[in-house]
Amino acid sequence: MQPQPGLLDDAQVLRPREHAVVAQAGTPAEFRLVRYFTATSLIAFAIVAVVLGAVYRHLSIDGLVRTQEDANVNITRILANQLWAKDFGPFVRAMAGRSAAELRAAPQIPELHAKVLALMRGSSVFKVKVYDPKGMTLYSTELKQIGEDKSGNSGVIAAAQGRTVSEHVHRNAFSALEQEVLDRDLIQSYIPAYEEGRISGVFEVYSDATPSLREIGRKLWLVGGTVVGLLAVLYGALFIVVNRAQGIIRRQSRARYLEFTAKAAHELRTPITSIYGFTALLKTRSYDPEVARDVVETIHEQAGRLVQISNDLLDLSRIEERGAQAFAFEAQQVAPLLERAAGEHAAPGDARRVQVEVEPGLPALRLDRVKIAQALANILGNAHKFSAPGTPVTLRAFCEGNRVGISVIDRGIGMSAEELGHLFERFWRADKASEIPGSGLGMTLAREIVQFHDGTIEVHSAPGEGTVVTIWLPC
Amino acid sequence: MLTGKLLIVDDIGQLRKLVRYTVGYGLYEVHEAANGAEGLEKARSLVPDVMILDVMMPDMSGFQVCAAVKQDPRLKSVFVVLLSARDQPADIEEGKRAGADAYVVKPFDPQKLLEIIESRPRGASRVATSD
Repeated sequence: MQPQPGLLDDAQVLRPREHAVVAQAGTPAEFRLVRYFTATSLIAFAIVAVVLGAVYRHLSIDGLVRTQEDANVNITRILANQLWAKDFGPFVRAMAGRSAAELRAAPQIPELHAKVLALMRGSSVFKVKVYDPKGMTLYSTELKQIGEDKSGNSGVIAAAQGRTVSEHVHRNAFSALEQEVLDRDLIQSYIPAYEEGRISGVFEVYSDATPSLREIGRKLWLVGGTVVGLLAVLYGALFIVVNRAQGIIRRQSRARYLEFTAKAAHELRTPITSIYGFTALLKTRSYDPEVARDVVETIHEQAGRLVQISNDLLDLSRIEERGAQAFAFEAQQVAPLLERAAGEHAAPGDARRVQVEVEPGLPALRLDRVKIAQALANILGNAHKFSAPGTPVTLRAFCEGNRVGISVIDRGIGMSAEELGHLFERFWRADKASEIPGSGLGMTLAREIVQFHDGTIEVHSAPGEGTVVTIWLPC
Repeated sequence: MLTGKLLIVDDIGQLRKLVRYTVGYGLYEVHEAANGAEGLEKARSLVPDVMILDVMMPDMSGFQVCAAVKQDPRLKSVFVVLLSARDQPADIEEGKRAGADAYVVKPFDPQKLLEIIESRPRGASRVATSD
């Protein structure tokens, strides 16, 4: 017989599902933090680079000023040696007390000027001025400045007291050698001139530091540019790595989320199919009272399973959402906690009592009573479900070093190593056939609860021999 | 009067029970298997008229059992209904490739399942299995 395509095409899809829309998760907080950190540290690096650059420039200029000052002092010494005794000395004495106009008209000026210019030739010196100790300009390579009173100039005053002072000045326009020079960096020195052991005048010398400063600037740009370029490459790479990692994690968490919802939906399917099907049967058929009662019993049981799954899911999501805030920690004695857990636990149709053994002198533990009781109830439930009626279930507490162990011991069917590997998986159930009630979330929930107490769960099991589940809590 | 032999293969007892209540009670002689291997074995010994196969089972998938049934010359005329929670076109397509006669998505209306089983071709086709 050929397969009947007609029947297949009519396949009954009772509830055409819409595809689940998964909300796109936002950027995880850790990554926002990495981004902020990266951006902030980049800005910090830039500020540090600018400051270091400024410091470097400042130190370089200081060095430059010192070397140029030496050059200026040298040229002054030459000028003084060659010109002071024969030319400037007599001129200064002759001009003492004369007016500015008389100074400018002095007949010695052209000869002095020629001699100074001859000595300056070939050096980096731009301009030379000579003052008498009181600050009157006796001579300047800029002839129109002769006769100017500079008695208030701090450099002239310092040099007149015997100190040589220099500084770096930038001039957008500067008149030297009878012409305007634009955009120059100059080292300006005031140097005392001595005659027979006393200060008889002051030289003001300007030398051109523009090429040296340009060199410093070039170096600064080269080094700074290289550093900034490397940083840019480094941070670019960092950004790419962070984005990649974020993408991977987003995909992983999306995959986990999809797996979880798929498992949850699948887990809900069995009771829903059961309830849906049996209620439909009850609606359309008439059964003997005995059969009908069995059907209703089944529906009730499956509805109970739905309640359990939804309760466990809610508990789990509450813990995952609120973290430690979902817990109310307080100091608790272990013995009453275990007595209560054993007393409240009653497996349906199972008259067994849980045997409680508590080592004397156990310290009080900081824990959430309700949550730990819930974890214990889940573990006790498993002990009952997977062991034969009549076999003992024991709840035992003991101290070991700085931790307290609470063990649930059963003599049930036990688990294989492979099964143990799945024990804490969400929706994993030892009972594949779903004959034994359970949500598949009990152990996951127990583990979450214990982990929020900084504890661990240890499980030992052997098929046919039984299982020991121990909750370790720090004390 | 019983109208034929029916084999349910499902690892979940509750669902076997649901199918049993749907088609049993005077309609079919119902047999059950809790996994794929057992289902295949029972199919070979019983040669049922109808097989209701769950797709998701731990040992063999319903698709595998279905394909094995359809490849068996003695069983190829068995009317196979696949039961699955998955309703994607790709899943239904896979069911078709395995040779299934019908594909029913869970949760399902038992009455409709019964209608699908009842509407299967009967009689002549069962004779024409000599090839």
